[in-house]
Amino acid sequence: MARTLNILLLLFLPFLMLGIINRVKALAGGRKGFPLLQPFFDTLKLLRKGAVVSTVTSWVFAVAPALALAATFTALLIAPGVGRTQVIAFDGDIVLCLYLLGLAKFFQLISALDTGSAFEGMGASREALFSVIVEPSLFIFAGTLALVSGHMSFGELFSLSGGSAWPTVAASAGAIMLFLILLTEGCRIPIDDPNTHLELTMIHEVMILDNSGPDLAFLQYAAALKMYLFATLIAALILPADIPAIHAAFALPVVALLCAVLAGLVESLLARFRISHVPQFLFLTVALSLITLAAAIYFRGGVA
Amino acid sequence: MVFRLLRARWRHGSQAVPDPTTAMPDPMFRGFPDIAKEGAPSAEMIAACPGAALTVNPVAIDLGKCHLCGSCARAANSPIRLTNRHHLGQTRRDALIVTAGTSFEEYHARAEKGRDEIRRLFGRSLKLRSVSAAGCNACEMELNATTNANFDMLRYGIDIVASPRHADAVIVTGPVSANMADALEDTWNATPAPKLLVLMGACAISGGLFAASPALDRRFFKDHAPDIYIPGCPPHPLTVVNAILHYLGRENGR
Amino acid sequence: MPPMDRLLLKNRAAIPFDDLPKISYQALGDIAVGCLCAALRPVALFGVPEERHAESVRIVALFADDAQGTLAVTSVSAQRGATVPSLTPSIPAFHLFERQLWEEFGIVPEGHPWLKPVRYPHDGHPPRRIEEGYRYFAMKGEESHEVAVGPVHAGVIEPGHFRFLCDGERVNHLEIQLGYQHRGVERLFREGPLAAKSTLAESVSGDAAVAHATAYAGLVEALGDTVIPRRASVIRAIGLELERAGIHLGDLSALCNDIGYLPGTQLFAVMRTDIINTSLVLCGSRFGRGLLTPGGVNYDIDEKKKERIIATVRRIRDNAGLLAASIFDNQSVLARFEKTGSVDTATARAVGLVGPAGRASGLTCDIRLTHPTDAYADHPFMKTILQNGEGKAAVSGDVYARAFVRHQEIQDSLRYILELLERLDAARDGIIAPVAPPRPDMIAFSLTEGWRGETLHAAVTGGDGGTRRYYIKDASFHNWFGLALAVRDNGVSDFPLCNKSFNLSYCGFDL
Repeated sequence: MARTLNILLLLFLPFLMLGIINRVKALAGGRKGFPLLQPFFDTLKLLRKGAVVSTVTSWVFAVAPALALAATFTALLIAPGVGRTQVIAFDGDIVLCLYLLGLAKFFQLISALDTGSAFEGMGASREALFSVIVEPSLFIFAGTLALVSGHMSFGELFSLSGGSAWPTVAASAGAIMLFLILLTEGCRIPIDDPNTHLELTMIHEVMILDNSGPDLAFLQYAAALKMYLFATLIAALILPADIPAIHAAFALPVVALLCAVLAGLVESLLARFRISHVPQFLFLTVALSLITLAAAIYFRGGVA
Repeated sequence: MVFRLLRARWRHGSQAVPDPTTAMPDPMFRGFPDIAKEGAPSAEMIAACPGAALTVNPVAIDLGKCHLCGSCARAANSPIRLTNRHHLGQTRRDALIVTAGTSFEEYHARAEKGRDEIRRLFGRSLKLRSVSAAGCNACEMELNATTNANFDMLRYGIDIVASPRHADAVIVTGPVSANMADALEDTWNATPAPKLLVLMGACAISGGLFAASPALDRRFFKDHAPDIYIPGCPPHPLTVVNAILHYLGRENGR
Repeated sequence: MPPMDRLLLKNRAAIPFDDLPKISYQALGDIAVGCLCAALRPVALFGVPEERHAESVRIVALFADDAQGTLAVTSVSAQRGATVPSLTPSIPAFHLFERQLWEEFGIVPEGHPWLKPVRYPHDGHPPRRIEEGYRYFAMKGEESHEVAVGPVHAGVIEPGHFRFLCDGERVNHLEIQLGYQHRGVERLFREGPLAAKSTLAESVSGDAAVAHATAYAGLVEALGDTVIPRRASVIRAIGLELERAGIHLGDLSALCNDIGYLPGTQLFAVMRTDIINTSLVLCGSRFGRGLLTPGGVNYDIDEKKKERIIATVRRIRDNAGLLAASIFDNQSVLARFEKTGSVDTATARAVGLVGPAGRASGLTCDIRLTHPTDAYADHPFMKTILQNGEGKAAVSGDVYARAFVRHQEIQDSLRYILELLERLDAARDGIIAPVAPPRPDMIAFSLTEGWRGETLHAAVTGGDGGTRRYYIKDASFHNWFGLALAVRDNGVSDFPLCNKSFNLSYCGFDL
């Protein structure tokens, strides 16, 4: 039951999150903006369009969108859903989840390089740089929680207990860190501008400039899924474990949509960072993960 | 800092035009030409028309060549009066010719909608790719204005995208210089099917006042038939938005 | 006694073509040296085919003496395909003019450091096609790479080609190739009666319609020795300043958009809309098209329009001031604007930058002040040097300075519009005068301070009263190279910001 609900949420919430971010930005700007369901309309249209493929690309370009989507979708099946239940769960599934994200990203990067376009190469190199900083923070954070809880599965990872301030520190530092990573992986201002028309400043957008039709739909859905994944992690972190199932079913979408509202507000109020300053900003996530590790040692007297 | 910003934001309220399909530009706007049946344009008026749009036999203005400059309307004893009716979009080149005695309603009734399949596919999501083929930047600025907070055609799911591969329609501005002919062809070929071709402005439709220049190369249009013609110089953003909405069968905004 | 190697003129003067002094290229070099100490400023260097000898070209040189408010003009005779000594090595500001002479007439400037085509015109000497295997500058290195952008760009913008030579994210050099917009404008001016070209003038660069129309109309009036009514000149100036304010507001909106600062983007855009809708009320076009015509203007300002313009201008002046203050206070905005795309004063002067870009780098060229005509002469335009938060004038030549100068100019223009509107009541002499046909065998120059900077329209009439040569120099002709220099040593992702801070015309350059 919970598994079915998780899959249903997977199909709708990512688009809804995108829609909410756009609505918040529109409201903040005093304009009408895209309708809430626009991401659905766009995807449905793209699935029915043809595609144009450069003759200079190889099988990598052809395969990457579907592969990236498949990997991301599978990662979401492992991610904690309603009431921290997972569709796929086993000891060590954290590692698989994070590596699936890495696989999706890897294929997107080499697909961008495959086009031979200078911008897509630049976008890929920027994206790779940001990943280099963000992924260790994710691993440190997940690793800390895993050592403390003694489990390597998302379902049990978030049962923060004991040691005075440990749960609060872990939850706050973790939530902030995960939100920053949500902004990064979702390519939001202040890290990236999803609506920019300046090819030299694009990061994620530029990597998909050459994709069309269903491939484009896959990549856009995969990007939205990634955002949703971090929202589920935030939900798992901050929601108490022992809420009734009915409440849990609503709590996760509410948290996800609240994350979307917050992301929309951040996008509306901040200017975009100069690209050379983004890595400095991302080190914040590393710092927050290290704080979590330090807190575990301090409040619990060690991670063992 | 945030408070000054919020204060500035509060003062402005919401700037969106509530309904672009019914909004009217100021009465001074030079739009649809009302040509009286009696009286004929003088030879001076015809010679002064920058786009050579004004003809006698029959007395008519070709909106595909007309820059809506108003010089014919300002001439002495002119049978021509430019109204501010701005829904000028058409789907056929010959429908752009306005003969004497044609009312705006008759003119507008000629504008057809797109085929059913096109309307079903693009009705709620249409992405445009702009090619400025020697446009003077006025059309480009008005095209940009269609996505601003004022006119906001995003509310209909219509947007301008960064890559032809992401687009459903190519919108051309400018008379198409020889130096841009290849780029226009490449962009069109890079747009996946099904796709639409939209011409914005007198220069794009007919070459406008540049039509006689040997620096142009308009062969692209011999092989590719446009789907939507948007006359003007530059066309008002409302003209652009409504031309596209009408084609999609959404002229009520629904 | 003025030296005989040059004639001194006022702005909008017309003189017989045969009165032009004919000097040697050596002597021209001697005059041009005056540019090095900023006594003179190069305004134009262009060729006029001789009427009776197809192979002969008269090279006309125009300099501005900003301090005296005069123009100095002289000429050199040359043959098509001849080689002449280049002025560029000593005075870089001539580089593009000499390249154009080479492209149009085959006159080779010997010693020119970088002779490459300007705009690939359809009637060049010889005709060249764009992208015919032109070899761009290249760099070699471990991390060096090349990024080519355009001609079609991701946004809705005119086409141009930019080739960046980068080291990772840093730009070492930018090579700009234009010409994609070439429509053969100058030739179209020569065909048919010169007085009927208002719409063409407005289309040279459609976002500077009033600026080009003002220069064009002034030129036709100079050639016909027509004086326009005072009321018309006041209305023209109002149109020009409305255009300036509207565009500058749009530029500030676009700059905020480029850094992803949405409040700035949206609020400035709203104000720009208000201004251009005021233009619509004034003359039926959001871009001021149809306002000007040789002899005067087509539209008058009655009491109702006047009230409406005053109310709008006052409101925008206040709101724009408030918003600009909050933007220039915002740390995340300043972090992107300051020290980005800097052009220092010496470079700006050497390259010959004009307009707000030049003024942001510390130059003081402004035709409204140095060579005023019509309303600007009757009612002097006052510039306020606003100070930024640190009490300094904004002359650092970076994106911040160019944005701040725009903010200042918006305030100045809106204030001047209110001053002009007060003068309307005193000027009741009609809005249009009959324009006399251009006198034969004359040459005339008409300079206007468009919002991009100094805009020149010049023409030579033939023996039959027709037009032998029409020459247009948009402010962008000087400033494109300024952009190329500005992006050096900046991140390649800051290029759009630099580009927008200059906001140059592609079609005004390509003609």
